[in-house]
Amino acid sequence: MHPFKKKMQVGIIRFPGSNCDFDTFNFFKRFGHKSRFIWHKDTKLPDIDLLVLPGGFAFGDRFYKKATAKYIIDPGAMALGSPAMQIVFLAAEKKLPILGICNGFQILVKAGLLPGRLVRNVSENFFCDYIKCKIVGNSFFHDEALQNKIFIVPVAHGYGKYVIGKKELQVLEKNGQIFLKYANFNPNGSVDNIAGVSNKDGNIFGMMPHPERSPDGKYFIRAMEKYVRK
Amino acid sequence: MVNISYEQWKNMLENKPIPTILAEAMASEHTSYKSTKKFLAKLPTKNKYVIQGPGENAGIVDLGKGWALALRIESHNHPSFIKPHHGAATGVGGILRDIFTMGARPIGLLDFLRFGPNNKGKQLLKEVVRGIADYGNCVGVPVVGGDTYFDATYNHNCLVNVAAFGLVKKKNIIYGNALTIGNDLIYVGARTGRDGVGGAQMASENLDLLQESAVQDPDPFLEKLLLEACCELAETDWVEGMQDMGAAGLLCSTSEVVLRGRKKTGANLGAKVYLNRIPTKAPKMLPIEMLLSESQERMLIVGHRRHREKILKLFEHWDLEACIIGTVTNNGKYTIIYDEERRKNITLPMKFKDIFPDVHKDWEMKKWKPQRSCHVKVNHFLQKDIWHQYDWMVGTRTIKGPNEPGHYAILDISEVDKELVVAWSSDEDRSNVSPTQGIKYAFDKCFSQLKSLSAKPLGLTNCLNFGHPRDSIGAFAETIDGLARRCKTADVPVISGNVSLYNAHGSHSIKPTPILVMVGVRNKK
Repeated sequence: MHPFKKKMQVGIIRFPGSNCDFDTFNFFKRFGHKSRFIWHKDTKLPDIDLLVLPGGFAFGDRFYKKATAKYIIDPGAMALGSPAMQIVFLAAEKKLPILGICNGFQILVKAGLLPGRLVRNVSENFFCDYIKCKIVGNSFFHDEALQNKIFIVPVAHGYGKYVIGKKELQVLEKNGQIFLKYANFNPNGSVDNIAGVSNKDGNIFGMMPHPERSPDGKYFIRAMEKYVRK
Repeated sequence: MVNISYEQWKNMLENKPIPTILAEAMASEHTSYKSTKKFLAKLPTKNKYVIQGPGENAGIVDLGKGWALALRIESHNHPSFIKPHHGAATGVGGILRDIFTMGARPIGLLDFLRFGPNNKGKQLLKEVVRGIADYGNCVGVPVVGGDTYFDATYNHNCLVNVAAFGLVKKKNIIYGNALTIGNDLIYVGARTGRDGVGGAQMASENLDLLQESAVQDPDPFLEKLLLEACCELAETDWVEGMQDMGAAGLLCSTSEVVLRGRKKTGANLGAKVYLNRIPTKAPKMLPIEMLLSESQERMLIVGHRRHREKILKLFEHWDLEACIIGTVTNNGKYTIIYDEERRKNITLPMKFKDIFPDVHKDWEMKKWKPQRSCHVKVNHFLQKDIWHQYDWMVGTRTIKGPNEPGHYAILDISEVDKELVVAWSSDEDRSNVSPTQGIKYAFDKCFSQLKSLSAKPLGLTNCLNFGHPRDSIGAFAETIDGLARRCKTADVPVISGNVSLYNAHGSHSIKPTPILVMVGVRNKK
């Protein structure tokens, strides 16, 4: 890392069942940033520059009333009941940058912080492979340098099909909120090849592909560094 | 406390007295290796890299710089044929627990699938892959390799072998033993149900005799919580032992930890187990069912008495149900106590040699008669469809995964600044023609693969899938002899393994199918 560049303080929320928590932690560490885990039962927003909801299977993708009783599969739904969601909503209110990756994206959508819905892949199967993605719209954290660039960003999910109403889609397009699209192969049947969207204010970003696994990870890090420094 | 006779307890059960049932369970092929142990003894299991050989939950080799690798393979053939999704998923769960029981964090899985070429086989394959994917993806351990073959010999006996490996700091290795009198036996994880009662015996019988009820239910989310909790426990000095409740469940795990402790310390250790403290999910479970249930995602922790509160608190943090179910004693006996309210308290002390009978079974050594069916590798497209369903990148260590051809995987081990190379054999059809030549070829394949990638071989694990011993034990013996010779010459020890006999239907046995997985390390480029 450049000597006079400021270290980012990153908070990573750990739900029971998050399994990209360490990958995300190491991703930021690799570029010299400092991460800390926030347990899903915590309620105090620590002093951070960026909040990340990592990938995985929070609560096993389940939704249940009692842990030992019957459950339905609904990724992200159960996490809404976690005390740490107070931190997420507070961070959103304070306009802190928030990034949701894969399962984190699903949670942000469920929480209503991002538009649309994420449903079962068209194939009805989990899918994992390297995929080419194109930066579009207002770009990832508004980094103009990334505009129209294509990166290899792996995907790994079973519920990643992004669906949204026609009118809302037009609004998203107009506002430039769609920042990532699958470039040459749509692994899940998403509307308009959408892979990632932001909120209207442009501080909350959610994406199905995993930047922490990407050989092009540094571009994503740089965009976040720039945003935080501003 | 009132001691009751075997006959009195008999009334509570069906026909047999408890100790007989227990001894039978422990004497099943799956737990006692009664037909194969005299052959297995020939395999070399030691060299300077081996920290733990066969006999524990997983084998462990030294990676240097204070780190070690745990490695194990297991079969889940019978359950996968009866209930493919559940069978395969619980197979993955079991092998992962074998790894993190040693205090190691699992970093990779391999799956070896063999099915009949008919519609039934293809349907089974689909379900099995879904089972592995549902489980492995959720727990967050990547499937980094494996292979799939079709052969009519597997029409009535599919093979589902899963290998796993994990990383552990040498100082954090936990063994499956109880060493100190007065320490707690702690039960943690899922509640005990009726699922999987008699699973160990199932794996030791022909498929014709089996039922669905002996297949367990999988819960990958619970497994993930257990994994994290156990990895955190491994970083402390609060526990002296951990044991997965696998085959023959509570009985096997509680008695095995004490037996290992007896061997290690020479002390006359024993155990007391209070059955009424076991958390159950089914109503009115009989003591025998609690002892033999193979409900998944359960662990036995041998915790230091003085750290009891901290251990329980750690489990609470992970929302896991834990309770003290017994204690380590010094009377040399394995005692079951069942003191339900309004009933007479029951105490049943047993001697260890009664629970662990030293059984042997000899079979006539017949020469293997080769079968004629074709052994075909799965086609490229189906292969791709299979590995696309596995998260093969989680953990961000995968350098060479299933996305590129080749019977090997490469993983980044940044902790020791090295790369782990895992090679596996396939093409077992050669073992059908000649078991000796087949295993030698398999070994040479793995060995030369590692050499060609400039990796130093450290050890291997094997899953030996054979048919009914009456016609296959000869092939088994030949395989072991061939493997032992190669291992000695090349100085590659066998650090863990699994034997699956009785892969037979009527008078038809499967072709001898030994699977080898060899691990090695190389310097980073």
